[in-house]
Amino acid sequence: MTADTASQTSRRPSFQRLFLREPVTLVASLLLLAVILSALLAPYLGLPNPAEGSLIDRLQPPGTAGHILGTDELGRDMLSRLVWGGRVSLVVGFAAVGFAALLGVTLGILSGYLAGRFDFWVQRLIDVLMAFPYILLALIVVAILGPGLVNTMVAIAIAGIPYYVRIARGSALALRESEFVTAAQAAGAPTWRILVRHVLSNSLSPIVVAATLDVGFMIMAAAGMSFLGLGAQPPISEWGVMLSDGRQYLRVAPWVSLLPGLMIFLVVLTLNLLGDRLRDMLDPRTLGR
Amino acid sequence: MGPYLLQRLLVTVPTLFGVSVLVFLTLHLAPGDPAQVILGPKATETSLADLRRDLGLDRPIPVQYGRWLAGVVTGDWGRSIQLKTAVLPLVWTHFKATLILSAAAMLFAAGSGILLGVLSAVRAGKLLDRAAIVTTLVGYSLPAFFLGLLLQLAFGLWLGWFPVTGMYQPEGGGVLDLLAHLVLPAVTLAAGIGALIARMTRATMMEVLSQDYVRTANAKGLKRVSVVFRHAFRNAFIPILTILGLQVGYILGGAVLVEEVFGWPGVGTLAVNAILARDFPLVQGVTLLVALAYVLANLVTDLLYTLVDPRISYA
Repeated sequence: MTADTASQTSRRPSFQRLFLREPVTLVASLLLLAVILSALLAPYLGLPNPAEGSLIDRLQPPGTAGHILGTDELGRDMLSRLVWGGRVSLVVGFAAVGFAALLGVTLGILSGYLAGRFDFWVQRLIDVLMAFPYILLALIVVAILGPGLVNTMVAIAIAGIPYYVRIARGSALALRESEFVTAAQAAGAPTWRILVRHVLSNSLSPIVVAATLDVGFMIMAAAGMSFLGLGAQPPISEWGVMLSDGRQYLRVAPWVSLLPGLMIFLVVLTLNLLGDRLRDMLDPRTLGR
Repeated sequence: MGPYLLQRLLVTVPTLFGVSVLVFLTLHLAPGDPAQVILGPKATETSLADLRRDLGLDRPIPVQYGRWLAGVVTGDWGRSIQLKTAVLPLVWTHFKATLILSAAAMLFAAGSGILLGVLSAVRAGKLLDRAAIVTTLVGYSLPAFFLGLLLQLAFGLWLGWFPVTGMYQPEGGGVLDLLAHLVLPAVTLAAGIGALIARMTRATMMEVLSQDYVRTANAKGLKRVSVVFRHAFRNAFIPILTILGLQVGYILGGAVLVEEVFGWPGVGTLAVNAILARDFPLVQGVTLLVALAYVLANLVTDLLYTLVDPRISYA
């Protein structure tokens, strides 16, 4: 190792430094972990049924005995609904990113590596998809498939595909000219092997960073679609639906809307913060800054 | 400029063709018989046959596309099934409301974002910079529909400073009334985009401020304001302009949510109602007009480069 590379390596922000020694990042990580764990363990937390409530207990403010975060317009426990709602919102966010990344990265890497006509047509398709603002494209897909939670997830994932195609294609275009790819081609390695072992594995850093930042965006988009009445439908506990349902009680019971909104904000904030930190860690351009 | 303009317009043609095909196919990609999709499961055979004839659904798809495209070009965008009125005037009326909201939001986002980004870069590492970083992170993590509610609650319901819904008072109003109704939705729509602009402006300015010619300008003893704005900002403006151009899509998309929160009578509200009512001619009209506006905005952004930076020549 030369002195130069040694000094660069020492300047690379380490996982430990970025994630554990910075209090803000540590708090964000713990908060996100708590939300994810509570969502995963929702059935075992002994919370009231999020779909059942008593009209006598309707619109109880936070701090009420038995309902620490109050109740909604149907007397349902807000804490329980938030925890179960997190389950839906997180699953939709992560699944939509997974779906968009899988299709987008596959298409992008093939497009960049194979080039030629395949690349030309894929890029024209992406040009057309990118001629629509993101939410509008998602609305078109929902218009085709019909409203609903699963359809919304598919819609926001499809609308997100161009983003991953562009990132993966950019990496693949650069990598296909690299010496180790030429060497693998000369050694007679099959195309799929070059794509997976050399192109994909070396493109992962920007893709992982993009995906991390995208989870928060997808959670917001899914909640937004539910807020518009096109995603999850009542009585499902989902943060966007809860926020929308509570709007008519904003004056008398603001917590019904504000608490789910706060949850979306906090989760997106922590994901963006962690995504930024991950980029600092993985992006070589941040070295020494 | 002339040859570039022509070349750029020619590149736009295939995109517009693709957009028109996708918008046209919206109805046909829905599972099942398009007439049944529109009229629902309770439709009679007679009404289904009438609709198929009215929309030309009994003809081959390429013929239907040709007829539809000819209609689009000549201003006949079909009739809304739910509202029983011509689509184009309806969409255009709502689109004007969206344009007012989007333009106000863009002005606010660009003004505040660029100012915050420049100040942050100039004071890099200082308290102001740290505060700006936190503000921008919060700004683009706040969902528009949540921020909208917070602003409604604080400035509408509690303080009573601004109206919380609509574009004018029910009895009608002038420009001042419009501006009063515009403040909260425009700020809501601008927040996320302004944060992104601030972030990108900061990064670009930091890059430019580290250049040799800036150091030279400082060494010559020029005033800090002059160095920052005359030397650094002018050179950082091209990337910032690109970012502003990219935000047009976010503004138009975000407007859908903000319009719903504030009952703003734009295309977003119209689109959502059309989707829920399975009113496909109206869905097609809204999506086509917004996509056309977006493509046009990107084209204008590209052309602005040549005006802003004389070094760029596409000829």
